Amino acid sequence: MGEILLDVKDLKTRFRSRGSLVHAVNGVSFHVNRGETLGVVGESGCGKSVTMLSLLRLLPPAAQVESGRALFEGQDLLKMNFGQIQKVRGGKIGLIFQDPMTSFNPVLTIGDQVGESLIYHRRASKEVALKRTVELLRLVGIPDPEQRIKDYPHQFSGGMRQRAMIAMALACEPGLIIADEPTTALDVTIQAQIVELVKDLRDRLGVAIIWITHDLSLVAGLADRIMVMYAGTIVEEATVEELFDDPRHPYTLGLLSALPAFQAEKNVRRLASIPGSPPIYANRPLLAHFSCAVLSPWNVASQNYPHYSRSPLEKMPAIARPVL
Amino acid sequence: MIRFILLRLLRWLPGVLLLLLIVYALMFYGGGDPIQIMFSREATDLFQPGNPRYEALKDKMGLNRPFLVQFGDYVWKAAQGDLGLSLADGRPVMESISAAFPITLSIALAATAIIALVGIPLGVIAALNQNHWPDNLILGGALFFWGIPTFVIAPLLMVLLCLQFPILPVPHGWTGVFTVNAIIPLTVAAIRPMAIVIRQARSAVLDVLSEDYIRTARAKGLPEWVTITKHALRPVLTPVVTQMGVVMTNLLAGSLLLEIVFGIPGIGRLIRDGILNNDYSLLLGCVLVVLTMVTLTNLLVDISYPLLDPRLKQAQRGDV
Repeated sequence: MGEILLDVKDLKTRFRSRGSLVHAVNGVSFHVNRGETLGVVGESGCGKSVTMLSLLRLLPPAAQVESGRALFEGQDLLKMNFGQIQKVRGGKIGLIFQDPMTSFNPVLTIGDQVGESLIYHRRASKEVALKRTVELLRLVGIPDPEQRIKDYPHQFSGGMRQRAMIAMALACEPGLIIADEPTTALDVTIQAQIVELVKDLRDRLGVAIIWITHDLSLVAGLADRIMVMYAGTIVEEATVEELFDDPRHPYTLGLLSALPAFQAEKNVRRLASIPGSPPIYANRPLLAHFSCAVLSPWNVASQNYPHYSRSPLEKMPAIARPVL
Repeated sequence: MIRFILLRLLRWLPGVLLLLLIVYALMFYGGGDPIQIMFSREATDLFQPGNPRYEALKDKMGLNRPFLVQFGDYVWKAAQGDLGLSLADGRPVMESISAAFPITLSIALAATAIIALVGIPLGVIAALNQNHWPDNLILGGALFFWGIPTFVIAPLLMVLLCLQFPILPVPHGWTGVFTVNAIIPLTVAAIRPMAIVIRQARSAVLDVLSEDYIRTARAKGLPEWVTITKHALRPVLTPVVTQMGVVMTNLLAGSLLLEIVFGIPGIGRLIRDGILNNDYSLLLGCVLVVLTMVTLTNLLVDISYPLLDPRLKQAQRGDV
């Protein structure tokens, strides 16, 4: 570890929506080391996915990266021209999407899709790509891959499709894989299998992973570091142990206390939830987001948070005082 | 597959019988006396009710039998390829239809081909330039031509291209698809349905482009043209082919105005003649032929679905 693979600074992304601007990502800074697994946690709509899509410039047309810098292997992803960013997509950064049901083209065979990127990134012939596809499918634990490459996505189960998706992201041996809630659409037993598979592949291939999820317990067993996002900013960033032992931000604590395991420890009857709903990010960038008033222990005392990074290497932006 | 086709045809049969029954009943009760129609040009009262020759002929033609027996007889003969004699000129209906039908079919096929080859690419171009000038131009043009009825655009084109700028001869009659004569009729036949196909293709492409799997294709770093041609256009074909089927059936059944304006001796003309002359055996024959063609077109569309979308293969293997 140690060598920085991806270094994002002050990333801001805006959506145009009915004449107003929605500030989806407000100055996010983070880094990923080579071979490291970074968990990104936050509730729906907090900007996790938009952050990652911004990096690869896969945003919908209404969204725009306003400012920021994203150095990947020394090159700024946000300043690349179209041809350069295409070489990165699939070639150096692989993506795994949330819904394996809709993320495969229904009219093309699995074999046609998984190794496809090899043809364009490595100038491989169709036969070579197909051979590699068989290897990849075997690698992710799909039985009888020689036959399965002739199948269409609808002939795969959800878990199998997500495995094929992982194989697809791995096709060109990227240095980084961004997994956008890869297990959300799967049931719990399959989730566990996929997590095990990714762990195993990471250890074998040494690939760095950004794992986006809203399930803190899921990422706990997988990630080296966890980044908690709220309303388009990073509210806390720490190693897994630090985060679970000593959460600093009230929102992190809210997330933690909403974990069933956490509650069982404390003998609480009712599952805790975080009151309120995420703020609307329209019109002005919200700097102060999570009102600590909603979480009791910090009611008065913690109106002014400095910043929550514990790693001295990090230069996290100071988080402004919460609005009350 | 054969089982699928047979089942589909079997399902088509009751509908056809019902429609024939309705048309037959309309003609039977409202179409007038066939014998009077047959001899309407001869100024004589020989063939008036009450006259023995009239009654004899009526008996001979089986017109005294009950309605359902007559209808059953008609269906039975039609199944054997005998559509009876025309009331107006006494020729076998089958003969008139087999002369007229190839013309209508070739117009429909040629127009469908033009629509597919021009309309689908235009729709795709419009979608890829959504809300920019090519899109506005194509959609505006489509809407414009959609708004002009056949009987307006046909004479307009003739005045423009045959009289004002005499580059084409005045089309009349039918000399085949690949002749100069056919240019204006085919343009008129294709231009309105093309507007629908353009809009359909455009919205289908836009739908597909917002699908997750297009984002997946882009995330793989594929060149944009591969994303469009390989990943986006294949799924687009399903709705577009459906639309083309509808267009084809409309062309087969509804080129009435076109054939009248250009004097083309097709099915549309026969239908008009049948209506004007109270010639109900001719009309029934035309209805039957059009129905058959519409069904066959739909069958073709249905057969093409699993080739376009593999998810539908299982649906056809069974007996859905």
